Amino acid sequence: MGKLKRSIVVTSGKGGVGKTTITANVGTALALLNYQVVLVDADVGLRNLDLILGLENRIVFDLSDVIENRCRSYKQALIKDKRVGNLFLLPAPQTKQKEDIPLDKFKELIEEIKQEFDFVIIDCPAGIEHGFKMSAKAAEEAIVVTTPDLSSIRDADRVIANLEAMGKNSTKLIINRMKKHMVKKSQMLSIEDILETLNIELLGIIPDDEYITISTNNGEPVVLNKTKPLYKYFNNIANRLVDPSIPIENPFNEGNIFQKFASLVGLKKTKY
Amino acid sequence: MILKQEKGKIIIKIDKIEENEIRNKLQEYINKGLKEIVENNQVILDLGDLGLNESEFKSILKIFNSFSLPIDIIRNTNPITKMISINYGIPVDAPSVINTQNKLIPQTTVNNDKNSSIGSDSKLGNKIVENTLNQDILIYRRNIRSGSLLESEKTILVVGNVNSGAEVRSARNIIVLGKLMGTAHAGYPNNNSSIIFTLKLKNPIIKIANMVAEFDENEIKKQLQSKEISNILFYQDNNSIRMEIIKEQKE
Ligand SMILES: Nc1ncnc2c1ncn2[C@@H]1O[C@H](COP(=O)(O)OP(=O)(O)OP(=O)(O)O)[C@@H](O)[C@H]1O
Ligand SMILES: [Mg+2]
Repeated sequence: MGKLKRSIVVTSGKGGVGKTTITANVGTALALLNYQVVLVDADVGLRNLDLILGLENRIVFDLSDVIENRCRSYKQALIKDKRVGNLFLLPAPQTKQKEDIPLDKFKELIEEIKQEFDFVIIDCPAGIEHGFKMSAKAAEEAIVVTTPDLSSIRDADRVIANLEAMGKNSTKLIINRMKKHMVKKSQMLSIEDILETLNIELLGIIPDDEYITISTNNGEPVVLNKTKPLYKYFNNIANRLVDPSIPIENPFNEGNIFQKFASLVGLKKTKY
Repeated sequence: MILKQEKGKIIIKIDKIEENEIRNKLQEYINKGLKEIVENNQVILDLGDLGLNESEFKSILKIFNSFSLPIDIIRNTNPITKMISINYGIPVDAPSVINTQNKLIPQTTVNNDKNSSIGSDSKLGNKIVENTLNQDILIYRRNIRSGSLLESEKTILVVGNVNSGAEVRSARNIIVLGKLMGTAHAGYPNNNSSIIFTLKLKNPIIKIANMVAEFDENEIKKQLQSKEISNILFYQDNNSIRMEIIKEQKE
């Protein structure tokens, strides 16, 4: 079977909204669906992805070793996940600055890796500076993560504008940390409010669940255990990346909201 | 391509992306001694309202680079092109000047005069008609995202939303057929006969000429005893910004 050769950046603008958590879990879910997946930690100097995947003590080479030719090929730096055979991590250097990685070298590397895999998913650092530009320019597709609060949404909006300026017009949105009780009491921005502002296609919704913290601390992505809460949301996102016609797993099953989604998602296609 | 010199500034205005033409013209100017003038001046590349994509933008930069001509500032009203310019590390903006601030008191007017564009009991009368008549309108048909600035000498009509963190700035009027959640600055820098109209709004920043309005959405909703406010008009009168809610008269 031919490789899908897709490169996707997971970005947000605002920090701490769940980029790394989503990269780890959606990546693992894709690997469990039998795709060949490489997760690239582009958060140079503040790496986390290795921890969430529980691979921190297996790092020998990192991104800058590859870029600066200290190892034979990028393959030498990939860490293979023991639990899921076809999942790999390319870790970020911890002792470097973001600016130490040249934009074009990073893009070339991602292009090279992509040829031999189905998915290369880049965990982007917060902000819109060098690390963001590097990650966004290297990837063909983008996923923007936001939480349902105004500051996160405004930052996501800014990032989407930057992505559009780079010619990326099919960016998809993940809304993370939706809180059930707050949605019910309409104390929180609704999904419709968020989509009205950001006006891009919705890829998925992930509820807020404190179990994530436990799983992160254990270095074990929640998707490895089907009985865990949140499994189905990450799995749904992985499936929808391959087949967008699969319906969105809605944590708040409020019947007709779906129809509204449809119309809002459809908005994107109306070229004014 | 036009070349202008203002105090301390060289302005190069491009109104068409014709690479060869730009190259030839630049060569012509350089032969006439452009390089020497550039040394002691700020170079402003004025792209008017051209909407350039990244590759067009790059090709222009390349031409300038090939002549070793620096670009200090880019003038352009298209938010996407601006964002590209910022991504390439070239600043695009000029600061705005605000002297005064006033608190908004909403007033409701009814549009019952078929011949008037505005509610006939409005203090504004037909000012907007005079103000806009025979002036070109810049129509922008998409949402304006956070961090983007849409700027024009013309009246700006936005068919879409102005998101929180985005700014629309016009030397004349601003009309938003959508939701205004960011900043609208009409009459920039000093035309106080300019107006702003929006179908809907949420915590916007309203500026007209050299004034900014203090907008307290909760208080306004309370005063109007309504949850949703729509069809809102802002204009200056007697050195303060006024706010009118225009209601359609029921037949
Ligand atoms: N759906 C969720 N429910 C509860 N907690 C979550 C959820 N998603 C993420 N978190 C928690 O939020 C915190 C930040 O998550 P994460 O590190 O993935 O964000 P990030 O966007 O990668 O941050 P940074 O910008 O610093 O890289 C973590 O403690 C994580 O466990
Ligand atoms: Mg992170």
